[in-house]
Amino acid sequence: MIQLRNITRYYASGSLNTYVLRRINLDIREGEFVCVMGPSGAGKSTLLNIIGMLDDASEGEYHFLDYNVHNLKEKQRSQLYKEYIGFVFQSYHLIDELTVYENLETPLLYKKVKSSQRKSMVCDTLDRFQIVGKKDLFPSQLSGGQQQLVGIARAIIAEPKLILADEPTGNLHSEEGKKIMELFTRLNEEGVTIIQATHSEQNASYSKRIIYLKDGWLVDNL
Amino acid sequence: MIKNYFKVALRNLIRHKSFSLINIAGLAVGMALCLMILVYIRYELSYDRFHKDADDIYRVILENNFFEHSDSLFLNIAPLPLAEAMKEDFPEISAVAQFGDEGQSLIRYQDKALFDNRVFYVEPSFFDVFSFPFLAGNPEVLEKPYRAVITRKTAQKIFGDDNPIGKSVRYGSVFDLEISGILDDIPINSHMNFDFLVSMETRRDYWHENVTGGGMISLRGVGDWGILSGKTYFKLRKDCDFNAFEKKFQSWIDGKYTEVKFMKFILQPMTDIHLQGRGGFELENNSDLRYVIFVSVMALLILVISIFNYMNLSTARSTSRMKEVGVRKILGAKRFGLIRQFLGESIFLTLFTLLLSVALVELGLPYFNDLVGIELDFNPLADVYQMSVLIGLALVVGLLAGVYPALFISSYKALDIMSGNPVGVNRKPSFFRNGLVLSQNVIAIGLIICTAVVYQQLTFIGGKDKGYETKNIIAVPARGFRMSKDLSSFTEKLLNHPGILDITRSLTYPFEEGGGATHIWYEGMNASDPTPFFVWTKVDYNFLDFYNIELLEGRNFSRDFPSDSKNAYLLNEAALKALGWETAVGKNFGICERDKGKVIGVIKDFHFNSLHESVQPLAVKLSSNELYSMSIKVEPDNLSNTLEYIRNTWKECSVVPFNYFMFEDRIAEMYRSEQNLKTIFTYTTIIALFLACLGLLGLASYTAERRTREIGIRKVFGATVTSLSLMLSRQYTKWVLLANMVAWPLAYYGMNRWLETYSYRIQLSWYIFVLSGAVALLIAVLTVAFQSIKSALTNPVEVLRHE
Repeated sequence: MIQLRNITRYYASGSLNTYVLRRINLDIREGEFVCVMGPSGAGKSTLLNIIGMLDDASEGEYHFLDYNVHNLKEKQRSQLYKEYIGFVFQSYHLIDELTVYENLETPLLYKKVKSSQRKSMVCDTLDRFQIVGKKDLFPSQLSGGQQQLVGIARAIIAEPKLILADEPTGNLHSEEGKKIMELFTRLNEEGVTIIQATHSEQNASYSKRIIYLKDGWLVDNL
Repeated sequence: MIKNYFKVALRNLIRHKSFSLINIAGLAVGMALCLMILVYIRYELSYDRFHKDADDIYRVILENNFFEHSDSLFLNIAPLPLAEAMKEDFPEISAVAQFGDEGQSLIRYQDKALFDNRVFYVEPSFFDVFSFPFLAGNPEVLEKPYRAVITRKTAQKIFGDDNPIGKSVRYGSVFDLEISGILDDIPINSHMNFDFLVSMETRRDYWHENVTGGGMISLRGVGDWGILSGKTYFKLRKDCDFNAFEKKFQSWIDGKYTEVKFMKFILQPMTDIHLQGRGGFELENNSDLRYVIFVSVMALLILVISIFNYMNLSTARSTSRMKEVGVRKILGAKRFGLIRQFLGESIFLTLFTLLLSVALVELGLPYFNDLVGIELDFNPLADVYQMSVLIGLALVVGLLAGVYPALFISSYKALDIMSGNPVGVNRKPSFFRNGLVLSQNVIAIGLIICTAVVYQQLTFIGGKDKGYETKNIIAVPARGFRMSKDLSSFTEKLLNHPGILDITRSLTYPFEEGGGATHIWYEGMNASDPTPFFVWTKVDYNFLDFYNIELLEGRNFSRDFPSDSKNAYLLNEAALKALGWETAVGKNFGICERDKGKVIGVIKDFHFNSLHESVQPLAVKLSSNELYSMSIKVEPDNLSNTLEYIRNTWKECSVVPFNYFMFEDRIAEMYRSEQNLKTIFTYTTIIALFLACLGLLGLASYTAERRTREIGIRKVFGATVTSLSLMLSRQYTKWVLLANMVAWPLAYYGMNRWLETYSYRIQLSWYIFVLSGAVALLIAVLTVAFQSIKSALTNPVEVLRHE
């Protein structure tokens, strides 16, 4: 599903380039549950952003399904990730002014899903995540765990093939974190490919495969 | 999707209540003021439009170019035979109306006597030119002598609920008039106002019988082009081109009127009169196009300030919606969609604001009307013009205010926004915002300066020494005494009262134009020479002393010289200049050849017309007749007592009701459009300042919010409240200071240009500029300081814990 070849990312700072990722080679198949680990500054988020097409690699090739992402234009790329990828963030990034229901509905609106279908999709998802009772609440009225639940629900509502989760439990206490991880496992069993970046060994234990990054180098690929 | 946008917009508004309030209130006030001024401008432009074919109606006025070095003088009079001749010679003309303005006249009915009746002498053709609809009767009733048509208001005033048709009233003490028709009331936006229309036949018949009075114009025969009398208005046929007609008329009149070389007759469209009619013998005090332009510019500036405010605050706030934009982008929003969302939001908000401002106008218009002294209507639902202006305004404002935030906020990459605080996200708009703050303050400061200058100039004009005393004078039109001994006993009794200092009488009050003389006679004149246009009046012995008019040369009228009562003249300085005389005392002079006399003294110029125009030549005669204008000088204390005494004394001596006005009030009335301008300027400036402050306040609170973390950190490291407040305030006061630098030269240039249009003007003084700048700065500091101190006082622990 994903093939990274010699992916390098650097930022120009003065006359020197600061390398964040160095010649990463990585293959991920459909249905995998991959965990990217490493200390702060190792390049975990950057790797996820590149896979998620929010960021460009400075060098190297990126193939996603049948597409050569490194050759695509911005517009086509955004079309691509809109279609196939769902994002989960450490700080949830729900729209504060929208209720749970409306937050879930928003990606469908951008996908121009018809009203009746939209309604049933949102209701199904609320049901599946057992948050029907919270559908009219605003994010600020929810606990962190609940917000992340909504964040994940929003990520999968449009039925993506791939979920990218950057420190999804970073702001949660361990009990909440555990629930989120169990949810990811279940989703993975249903066939969704998941890539998560995390510090936590415990989170990593849920995934089937662990990748270690250090100073931009891929040091271990278990 | 629109529902989604709508919800987010609304909830955002509610969440940032104070911010939204500032934003919307500022715009609503700006729009409301702008709307009000638009309504006012429209009113000023609507003058005389109610006449059918208003655009085809013109009048003939006289242009007097006697003074080569000053502007020409315009007079709303024309030769007597002109109307008849025009009708005969120009097939282009469909109707001509010649009429005479008799001014306020005494009308008696049964035991009622009313002074304030404006009387015009008209022909039936008056109604072929003007559209004043009849409620009863028709124009033909004015074909007969001693017939009159009155307005509904006048009918109500004189006859109450009785039917006036067929009833007789007494005109002065002269003759009876039969009321033969009733007109609907004259619209407020008419440049002519009258209560009585008396048939011209009346005048002809009466003059024929009694060749007296009416001034010297009546002494010469009808058919003489030298007689300047009455107003001449005419209506052109629809298919006639005015410019071609004007040329034709010019060469025609040059052949007809050869009497006085420096006098020209020109045509003026009726719809121009209200805003451009400036000169002698106008029917009403007209307004001034300059003022309308002035006020329009003010409206525009206010709108600009409030739009800038709105843009500024929206842009500032839009950064706090970065996260939403980022999320939306990741969820698949395209740039265009975001632009549409933010623009739509802005337009929606301005439409909502528009409703508010309409409500504000409805609430504020009565006060505005009071201030300006007119009756404006605001009814957008019934008026397509107002409606479309409103909606257009909202759309334009919404677009202008929304376009920058929309473009700016949608231009960021999702990743930049989501990853927190990347380069550029917060920097970019501050340049733009500061630019807006700067220009707002430039406008506000500029307006303060302009207001100060306009205020000074208009106060100067209003309070300028007019050359005669205006204070503590009660004016009593002294008509209605049966015998002259009644009048003298009235005067005597008044002078016995300790509160009454002096009394004088004259033909006209010093602020009025008396008669006009086109054929003066003077020593050494050449019969073929043109004679300058003179204004003349008649006064009592003590007139000069009473009004404190300075005598420059010679002597005043005196009882020691019996001949004074026959043929003595006082001339003003302008008269000497017009005649080219170095000294005048002892020279022979007459306002017409029959009225020859000697000049006994020269008086200082005083302004008998408004200060817009320079003083015209004036000849003053002594008289004991026709001195209808009585002036009573009183002690300012106990005025109401004194007034009561005068009223009671009047009742004993006169047969008509007492009527008076305060001299100063009447003079203020003459400067009403200046007064209006002053009022509008002052209020607009206050509002502009208020808006600019709102903008600063909004920005300051926004910055404080954005910088809470920085403030927390600084406090942890030992910053004091004072240093923090200063740091936060400086950011904005800096722009106010800079705005001064820009505003001063602009205001200086603009005001200099404006002052040049006045013949009597103030000097621009530097302290106005400094003071205006200081005021703006002080207000800005006060506005920002409150917010700055508040945020400097926050507990750093609370702020940083949140992070």
